[in-house]
Amino acid sequence: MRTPHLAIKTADPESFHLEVTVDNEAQQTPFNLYSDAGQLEALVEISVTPDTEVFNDLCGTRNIEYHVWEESSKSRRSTLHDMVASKPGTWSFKRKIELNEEYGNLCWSVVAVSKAADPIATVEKASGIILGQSEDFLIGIDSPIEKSGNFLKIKWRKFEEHFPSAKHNMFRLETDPSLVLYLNSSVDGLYSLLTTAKRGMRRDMKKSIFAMIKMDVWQSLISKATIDLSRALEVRRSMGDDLDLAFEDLADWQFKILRHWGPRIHFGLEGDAWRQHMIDSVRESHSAYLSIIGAIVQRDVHISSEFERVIMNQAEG
Amino acid sequence: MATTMATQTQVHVFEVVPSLDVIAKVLLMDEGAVLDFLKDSKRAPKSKNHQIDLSKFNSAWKKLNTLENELKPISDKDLSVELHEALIALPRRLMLDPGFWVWLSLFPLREYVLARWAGGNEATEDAQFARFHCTASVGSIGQTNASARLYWASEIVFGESGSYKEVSSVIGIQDLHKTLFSNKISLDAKLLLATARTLSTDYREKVAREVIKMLGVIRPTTMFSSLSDADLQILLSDLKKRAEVLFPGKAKSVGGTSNMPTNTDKSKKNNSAI
Repeated sequence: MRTPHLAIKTADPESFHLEVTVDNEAQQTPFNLYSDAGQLEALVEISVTPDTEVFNDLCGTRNIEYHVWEESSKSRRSTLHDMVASKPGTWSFKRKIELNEEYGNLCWSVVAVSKAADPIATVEKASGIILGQSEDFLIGIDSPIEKSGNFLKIKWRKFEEHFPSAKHNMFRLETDPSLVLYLNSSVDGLYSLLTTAKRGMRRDMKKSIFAMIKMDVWQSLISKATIDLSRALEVRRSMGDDLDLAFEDLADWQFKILRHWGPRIHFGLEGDAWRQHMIDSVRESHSAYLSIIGAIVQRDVHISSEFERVIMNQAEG
Repeated sequence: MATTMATQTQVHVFEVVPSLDVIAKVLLMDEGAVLDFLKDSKRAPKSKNHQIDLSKFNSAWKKLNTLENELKPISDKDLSVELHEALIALPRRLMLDPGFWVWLSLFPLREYVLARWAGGNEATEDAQFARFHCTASVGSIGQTNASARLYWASEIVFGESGSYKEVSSVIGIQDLHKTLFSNKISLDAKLLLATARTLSTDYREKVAREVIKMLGVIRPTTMFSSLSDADLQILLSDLKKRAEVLFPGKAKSVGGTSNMPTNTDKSKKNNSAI
């Protein structure tokens, strides 16, 4: 059987000199098709000008082909597109993406593949061997690139244009009319880090930043939901109703947040028993309850271990 | 001659996919009660601007249903084609939406799903509720949801070859279908079809699983789609020979469908969890 990939020398991703353009006029963020207006298509153009020496060295006596590899579990694709030599030393590819055809997001990269007569020879001689793969990039079709547990949408915006008063901020949470987390695409390198970093120190950095954002977002959302729960409890009490009905007075997203966190905050209780405990805690002291929640959220998003990894990497150089 | 009256059904989609608990509750209600149960909630299925005609599919599964009111796995290949033909005009995006498959399984195809996965009885176990449930993961749409698994088997074969001739290679053997469609291999239509074609001939479970394991091992180094059809076939045959050396023996039967596991081969609980 062929040798697993760790034993094979492949080209550095930067050897491809990858260029990507997305023609999608209606969007603020070129790599994300999702919009409230339902933007329907985008033209993606990809070109590479590979370092000839690097790839010639790897392919030996075999020929070499450059392809665009498009993969997505949600869109059920793993498709290899041929690239064409658009000028000497440069290979190009373009494809129109239609919203009606896709779901979730698409992950793209350029791969250099060996071409030879024998498909079952050793990796040094066989056809179809991956000689190198560029950095991958995601095209969001209609969902946040970072999973958010279906609680909120994530959108990239240039804050200096959209939220001038918060132009130096990294993120901004809106809860009305729907839950949206805006990330500032004007922050140098942030978009690239949060959407493409998949390996090494950059991946650890990405996870730490998300943990930090998540902690703040969760606390804000839980705080808003429990404030409204507290109000609803007072209304229900004054009407002589069953206090549990207060949960039905909450907005859908608020109930989802509390249903997600209730069993974590009131750990070890059966079924919906957390609801009664939450009602008691909110009525007793809302501020004390929020301070407990802060500690639980911090533990749940593993913020200390995420940052620990970054610090250790930094120390190891 | 029997005729089938065309009946159009308005397509709906759950924008928020119901949990297994909600599915368990909903399965005890008729459609009107369900809509009432979900009304004024974001959990209610939303109407889409498409209609489908499931009358041929419904006639087909009822015809294949046995006297014991229990559909056998052998029905999958025919029903896969019937369902694909019924849905072929819908946008691909809708076919990737878990909310569509949950709606289709819970409402228009509820009787079929119960006949195929609960022996025609009420669903009582999580594994049976899971046949109505769906997520956007590879395995959920590919092989867990009772309706999506039928559609996608034919979609891959039809999309790759332009005909339904080889649908039985992909879904005719339940264990092979499950192994292939739980795997990322199923995202690559060319590789999936070639693998199914190779392994369904003289099918042996251990050999098939070993080949799929080997494909997983060499996947990071090999771009299968870059190989010609002939080269891909040479590679798969080579892997199969290696697996046969590891697991010597003979297939119980050659071709046909008698080596397929059936509902009656296993306990009900095991079957529903497949």
